[in-house]
Amino acid sequence: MTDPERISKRGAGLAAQLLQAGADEQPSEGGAQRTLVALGVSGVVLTSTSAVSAAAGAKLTSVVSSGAAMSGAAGASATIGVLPAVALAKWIGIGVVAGIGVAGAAAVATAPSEPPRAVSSAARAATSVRPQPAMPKSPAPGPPLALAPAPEASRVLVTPLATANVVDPPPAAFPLDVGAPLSAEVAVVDRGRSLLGAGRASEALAQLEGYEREFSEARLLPEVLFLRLEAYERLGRSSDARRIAARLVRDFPKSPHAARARKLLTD
Amino acid sequence: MPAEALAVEEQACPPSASPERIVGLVRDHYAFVWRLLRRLGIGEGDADDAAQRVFLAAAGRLDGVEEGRERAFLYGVALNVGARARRSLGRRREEPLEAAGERAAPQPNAEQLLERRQARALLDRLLDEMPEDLRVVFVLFELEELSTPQIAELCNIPTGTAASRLRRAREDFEERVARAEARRRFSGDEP
Repeated sequence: MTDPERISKRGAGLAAQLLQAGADEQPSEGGAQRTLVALGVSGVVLTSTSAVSAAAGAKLTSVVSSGAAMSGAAGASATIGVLPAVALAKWIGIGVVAGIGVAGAAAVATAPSEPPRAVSSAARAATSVRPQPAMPKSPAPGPPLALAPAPEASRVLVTPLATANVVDPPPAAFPLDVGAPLSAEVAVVDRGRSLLGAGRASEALAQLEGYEREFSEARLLPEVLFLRLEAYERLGRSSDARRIAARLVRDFPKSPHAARARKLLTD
Repeated sequence: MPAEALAVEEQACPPSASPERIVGLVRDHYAFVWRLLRRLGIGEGDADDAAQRVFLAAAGRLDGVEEGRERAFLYGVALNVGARARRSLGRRREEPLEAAGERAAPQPNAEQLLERRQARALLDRLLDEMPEDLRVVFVLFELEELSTPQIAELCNIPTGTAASRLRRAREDFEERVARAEARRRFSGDEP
């Protein structure tokens, strides 16, 4: 059976134009990354270069190894960045409280030798998520993860959540520039979650409360608010928790995290 | 097994699969899920959240999904999430231009952006008017560029049924486009 020619391939005509416009539409930059954060997959940044995205799909690069692994990555061929370790820090999805240990869950306890802003400008430009549909548009399956041994300098420590030995934050906890790479935001969220998972709610709050100030784009704001809500609850600061919950509901009513916030507000 | 059987309840569970598999799932299929949700009627401003819901729901059941069947599984979850989202959120047809996900390279100019946005708005309106079974097959073939056998597998229908639905869907769509074009010419409006 032969499939008919696709209407969009005809080139001319309103029907073709409409379908081409629909096919061109891409998700926003941070959507896939936010999903990974919500799934509790830490230390992973989805990146791709526009030049290779159609053929290669997104690349995976560790946050902490991004400075080394990503330099020169932008504009490169369809290679996949190193993923030294992917850790399932915890489930922070709908209705599940951060900090509840999940069997087999682990946190990435990173001790970056340099702050996330060390990501090269080329790599920063490439920090956009443009995953491609697997069947028709990216016939080559993604390579297996964590294949290449990470350089010593970019090693990620994977520690069970319950016993996570959270490393003290480096002096410059946040990247300071506007338009910081998404990897830097992910690193802050991961660290806040890691601290929260280790029972250090006050320190987690210290990390997370500076997030909006430091990241003008705040692409992971719903996740950060959710973690702050959890931290406030753990500290018994119920009025603060309710304030954050109200904000989550007001500003991100369709976020999966809003469901938990609503529950808190109605309890 | 009917296609509906693939649609699991939208209920988030702790992820059941390895982190590597979850990352691969998001990496390989996020754009597919997002665009599918968009063309199935989820507004642009809601598509990220809806896609996140799909993956949150899917991750908890991923261990039970055979390797290579992830897309079919996500398709089922996305249909379910999409249907719920449409019911609960409604559709936002008018969205600010600055919210547009215009990230195709090369960057279009403002006029092209506007034209593309208008084209998508009309496309979504026409798709909204199509019968659901035809719409799904049409979107998968014309926009996601799946073959008829792939669509049949995804929707769990015979290949002949997929081909028949596709033929009817294309006729339906082209008729709607012709009517829209005639209306536009008559009124002198752009789509």
